[in-house]
Amino acid sequence: MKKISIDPITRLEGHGKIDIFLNDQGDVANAYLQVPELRGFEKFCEGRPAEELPRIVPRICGVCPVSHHLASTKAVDGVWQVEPTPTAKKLRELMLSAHIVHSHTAHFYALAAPDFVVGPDAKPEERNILGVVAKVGLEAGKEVIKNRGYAQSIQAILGGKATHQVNGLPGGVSKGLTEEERKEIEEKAISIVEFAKFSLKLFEDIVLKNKAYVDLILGDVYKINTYFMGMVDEQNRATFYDGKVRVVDPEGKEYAKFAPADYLDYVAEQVEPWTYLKFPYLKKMGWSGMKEGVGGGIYRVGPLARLNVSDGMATPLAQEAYEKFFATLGGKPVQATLAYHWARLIELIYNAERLLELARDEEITGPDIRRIPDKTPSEGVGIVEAPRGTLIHHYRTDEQGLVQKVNLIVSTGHNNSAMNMSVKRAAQGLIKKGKVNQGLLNMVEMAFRAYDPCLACATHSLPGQMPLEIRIFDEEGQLCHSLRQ
Amino acid sequence: MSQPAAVMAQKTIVIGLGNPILADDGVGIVTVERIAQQVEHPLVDFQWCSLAGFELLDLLVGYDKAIIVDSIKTGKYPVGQVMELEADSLMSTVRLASVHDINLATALELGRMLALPVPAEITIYVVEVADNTTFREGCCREVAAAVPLLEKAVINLLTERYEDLSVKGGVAHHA
Repeated sequence: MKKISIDPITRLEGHGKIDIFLNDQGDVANAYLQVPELRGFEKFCEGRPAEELPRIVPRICGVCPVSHHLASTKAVDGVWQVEPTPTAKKLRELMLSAHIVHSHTAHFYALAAPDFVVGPDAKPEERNILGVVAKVGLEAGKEVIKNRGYAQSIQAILGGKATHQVNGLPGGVSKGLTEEERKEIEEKAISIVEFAKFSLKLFEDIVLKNKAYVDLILGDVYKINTYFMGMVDEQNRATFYDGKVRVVDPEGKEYAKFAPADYLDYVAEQVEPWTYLKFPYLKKMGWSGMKEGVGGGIYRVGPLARLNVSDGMATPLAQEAYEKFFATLGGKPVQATLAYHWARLIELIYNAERLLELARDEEITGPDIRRIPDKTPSEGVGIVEAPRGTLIHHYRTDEQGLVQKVNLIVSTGHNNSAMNMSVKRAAQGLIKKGKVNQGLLNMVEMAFRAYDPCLACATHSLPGQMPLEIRIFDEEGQLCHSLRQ
Repeated sequence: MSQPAAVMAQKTIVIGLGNPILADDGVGIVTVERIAQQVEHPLVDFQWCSLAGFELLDLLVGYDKAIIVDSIKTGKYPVGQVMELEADSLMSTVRLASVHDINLATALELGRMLALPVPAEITIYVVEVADNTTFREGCCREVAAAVPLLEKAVINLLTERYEDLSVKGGVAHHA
């Protein structure tokens, strides 16, 4: 059999690209981010029974299966116009909290911490999770693995599988929680809360006590002015599983607050010829390109957005961290893109506390886990806050419940304009007179990485990650530099 | 002839990676599902999943050896070509890339660093694919034709390691 070597500069098709165009002074005139998109999902779903979709959509990608499963399950609640029981809602939220813990832990330690703990201009071979563990110690590394594993196992207890969950049904869930399982989750949640506290303290010690890092976070290179979108509860506190979607403007004032079913009144999508990924924008403002500021219509989702749209957090440790966040970064809204990392850790602690609260909730082991639908199926919208931001599933069916129309707006889609704008701003601030090196390009990439973009299928194609290529073009459009990670 | 006890006690996991509803991307899953229907051994486990990074590390912990079957899209080889990845390919990908999670090599290195029992030997078989971005069940003709070759490669390797590997239900021997 043929034996092959794959080296880091081997071209692998279907990768992400950042194209940077220089002017005749060698400064950045423009920059574009292109990410591949999976195709044909709507067609794949058409004609299938809608109740199958919650089990199909976790297959969209292995990175955020629970988010897709729950957005889909809420959408099929809507299709059958059935309200899940209180216990079912809590079980779903418990699973989502475990998923957020799992995802935010992976992102912080694997992708964010290398830039801060090891250093943004450190050698690529050291700027990874191995370098992080070398700095913070093996015991801390073991805690990362242990608690991430705990979050994963809680998802498996509730969802039937650690990935590709199968428990969501219109009107509830297929499996309740036994007292023995509840105790196991409670014990794990106690450990996760301590781990979240440790992670937040690590960030504070390493990043916030280092003036150079705080300056980097607050600097103009990593700042764009946009609207923000995220889900809030009745008291406008950040929430993930259920609530209304709130939008604040670039000055922090409420621009809109709407029920999930009304999302099409507020969000529209622009198609551009140079990329498959659409560009969502605030519909009532119309599309005026990637324009910053009030009236621009460009919004961001995800951890930073959720903190900016909310008036507080519903758990004590998260509330304390939320207050410190805005006090340190100059009040609301925070427009600094790198603050996504800190916001993500505040959400880690919120979801850890929420896990523990729900594990101790008297209703969580209740037997009433499903309300049987009795209406004719038609149309439903399900929205949850996924780790990377607002996730929308919208289905329309015929009277038999067979799918006629599917619309999905995923978090990385919502952030498409903002990621492009952030990459351009960073490139313009960092690349001068044509001077480019690996360290500078990593710092350009940091603007993109802060969003924790999910590039879907490529995460499980060998060699395990989708490479990102950065190409620099001179004033005549000739390729002058190319770097791949 | 019997094998030494230390060799006999070594546990192997065979993992098929991919997405079964993403056209050719499902080839690893199809292959390992089929192998699991053909052979069995108390020290060999089979898994098929759409996982990477940390999750893959979870699966690998506790095994001495691993065999992974996955798709690859280099654009350099004919679609359907079955290949084995050189060990250095795995290590050369130890780097920070720009998507969520860590790659396999980093996951393994992390496991070793934290003294987790990760496999000392990993064999990776790949097949060059044409389409891994369109939602569709089933592989293209060329990739589907590679499945028996992949099966044969994996079963031959297992037979070398476990001479008492059981063949289920009279399925044709691959050796």
